[in-house]
Amino acid sequence: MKRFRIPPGILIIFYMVIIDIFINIVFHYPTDPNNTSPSALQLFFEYGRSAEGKLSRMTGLTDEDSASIIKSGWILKETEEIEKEKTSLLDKPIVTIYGMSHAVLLGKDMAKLAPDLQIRIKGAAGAVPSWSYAAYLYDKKIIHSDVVILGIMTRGVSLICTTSGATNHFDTVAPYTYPRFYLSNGRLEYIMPPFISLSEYREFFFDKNKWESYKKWLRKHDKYYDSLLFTKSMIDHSSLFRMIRRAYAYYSYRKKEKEVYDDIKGFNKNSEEVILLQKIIKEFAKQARQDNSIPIIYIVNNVFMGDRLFELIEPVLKEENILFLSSHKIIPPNDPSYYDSSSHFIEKKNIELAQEMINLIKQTRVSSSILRGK
Amino acid sequence: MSMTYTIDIYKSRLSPARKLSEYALYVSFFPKILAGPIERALNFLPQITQQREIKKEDIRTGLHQIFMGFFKKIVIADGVAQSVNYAFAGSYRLSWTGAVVGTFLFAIQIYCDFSGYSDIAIGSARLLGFKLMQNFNYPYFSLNPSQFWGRWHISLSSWFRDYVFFPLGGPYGKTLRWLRNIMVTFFVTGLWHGAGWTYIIWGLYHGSLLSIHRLKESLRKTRKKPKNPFKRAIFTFGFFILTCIGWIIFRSNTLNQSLLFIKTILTDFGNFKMNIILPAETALLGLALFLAIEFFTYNNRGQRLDQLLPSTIWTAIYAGIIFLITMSLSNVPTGFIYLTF
Repeated sequence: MKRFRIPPGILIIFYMVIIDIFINIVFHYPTDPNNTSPSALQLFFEYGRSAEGKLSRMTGLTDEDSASIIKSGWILKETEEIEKEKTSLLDKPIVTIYGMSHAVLLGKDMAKLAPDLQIRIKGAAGAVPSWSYAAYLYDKKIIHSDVVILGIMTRGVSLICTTSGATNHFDTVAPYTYPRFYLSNGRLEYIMPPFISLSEYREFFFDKNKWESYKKWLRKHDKYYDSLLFTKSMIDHSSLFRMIRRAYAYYSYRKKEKEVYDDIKGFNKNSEEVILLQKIIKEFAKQARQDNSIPIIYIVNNVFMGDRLFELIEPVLKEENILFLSSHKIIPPNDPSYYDSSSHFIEKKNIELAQEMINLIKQTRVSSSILRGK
Repeated sequence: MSMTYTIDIYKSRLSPARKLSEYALYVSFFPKILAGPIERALNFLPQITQQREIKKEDIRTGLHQIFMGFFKKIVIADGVAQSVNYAFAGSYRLSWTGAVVGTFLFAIQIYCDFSGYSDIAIGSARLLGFKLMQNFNYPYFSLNPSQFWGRWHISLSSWFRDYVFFPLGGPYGKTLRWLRNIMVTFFVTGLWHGAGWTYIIWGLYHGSLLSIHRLKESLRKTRKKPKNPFKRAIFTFGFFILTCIGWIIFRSNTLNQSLLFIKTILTDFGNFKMNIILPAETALLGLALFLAIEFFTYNNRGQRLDQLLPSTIWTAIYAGIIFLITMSLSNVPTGFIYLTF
């Protein structure tokens, strides 16, 4: 009697299903939204989940049952938060820094090094220049700062035409939103997203119709929106398909980034993003000066991207006489030993940068006081 | 390939193709047109003219080879590419650990990248019923340079042997004469890779290794291969280190960079700071699995896993490899290294 043999193809599929189930059980992502330290493998297998899927896991009806990333990065703060901040102001010169995590880390070190200054930090995970500028525009209406610092990094430039932390990074999403800037007859204009605060976000997220209308808005205005990456689907349940989705996300993001920044050619100076960045810098400086604040640009040159961002915006900075601090002056961008595993600067170098920024502020404040006859 | 065809006809080793289409297919056969294997007309033309029968075994062998080719390329070669690029960027001073790990990773990258490509090309041809020559045969298990060049990029090294080394006189005649033949052949081999000093010096370096080995062999009365497994392992490891030194020269952007690299390895021992970016976890996992498969199949005369293991086991390994490939798809893809040569 002939022995029955299972075809190898079927066996391979069977094993793949087993591995998929195994991964979903052993590396199951913690359901508690406040668990912020899952293992590296739990994170790895979670990366490919849709943006909506990740948001569902992290968003609760109240702040207590929501992950901290859900609460961060909102441009429009809640009233109590604003009042609380106003009452905490001290009789010191106020320095406010807007930007991504590099800017936040710089601000923290500046606060340690210069107790005679009140350092305010307005940051969001992976904040792009359009977020930072919008945050400044909102914040300046609430609290006047003597010095305002706008943080910009090389990787953020190609993401200027996005509108949310849920579309500008795929692996780790955040729901915060910001306006879509564009140029109209040489003027910097913007379209506001349907919501810009945490409470509004919850209102949209838990209402199916409103959320669908938001997705339609994203499709129309956000260059990085892709429904295959954003919308929750059956694929979310399989680790294999999640990894395929992640591969597609990387492919799609790289393709879009290449239109603005190429490893060999550098920035595409004719791209909408580069033109917008230059305009944002000019407008930021203009607005700050009108408000009697000193504008400073903090340039973060990402690892292995050389000083191309500095080279790109240096002419604008010189033309507009804007103060700046570029990380490449202290940290060689092509030496990875000065960057940690999350691509931030190592602590020692970050402190040096913070000191440099403080020196820049103090020298400028002294000279501007002399000029004003104080 | 056209040179081979012309020389073989001139030397009366081959009859000219009867039809232009046969010749055209020989030179433009898609799996091998980009980066080989450099197939001889003697082997390929008869396969075009004869009736081909695609057997079940051809499909099985072809698919296995393509699958392993993708594994080597996507999981390992692309997985370590970023670390290698940074290590050889030359923009900062590497530590001892950085230089050693960077060199080892490049040795792995170039092998997996090129043998992966060859596997995909040979496997694709096999699916169409063509048998292309083997291009790699466990080169890093070589005990000496002579073995290495019989196992690394076989189609190219045998081409230089047959069309450069032997016409120069081969290994015959006075010692100085055959030493010259070796050095000239390797000089041309280096030059073939690119008109740069690093390639030429790399070629001459391997020529020198082979010359020293041949001289040593000629002084010996009997040719004995070490049978003791421990001794064999030491010889293999020793020659792997020599091969890696060659790869430093080959991969460096300038000769100065390669000298600095070698100097760091020789003099900076003790600086264990890891200052290169580590490869992706999937690449490390894939590398461990790949090394295990290489050892296992090498010790079993190069047979495939499906020929050596019960189907319940090899299919599980293959399912794991599919997962590793999927996990690696988000790595930054890199072009095949040998496409530039």
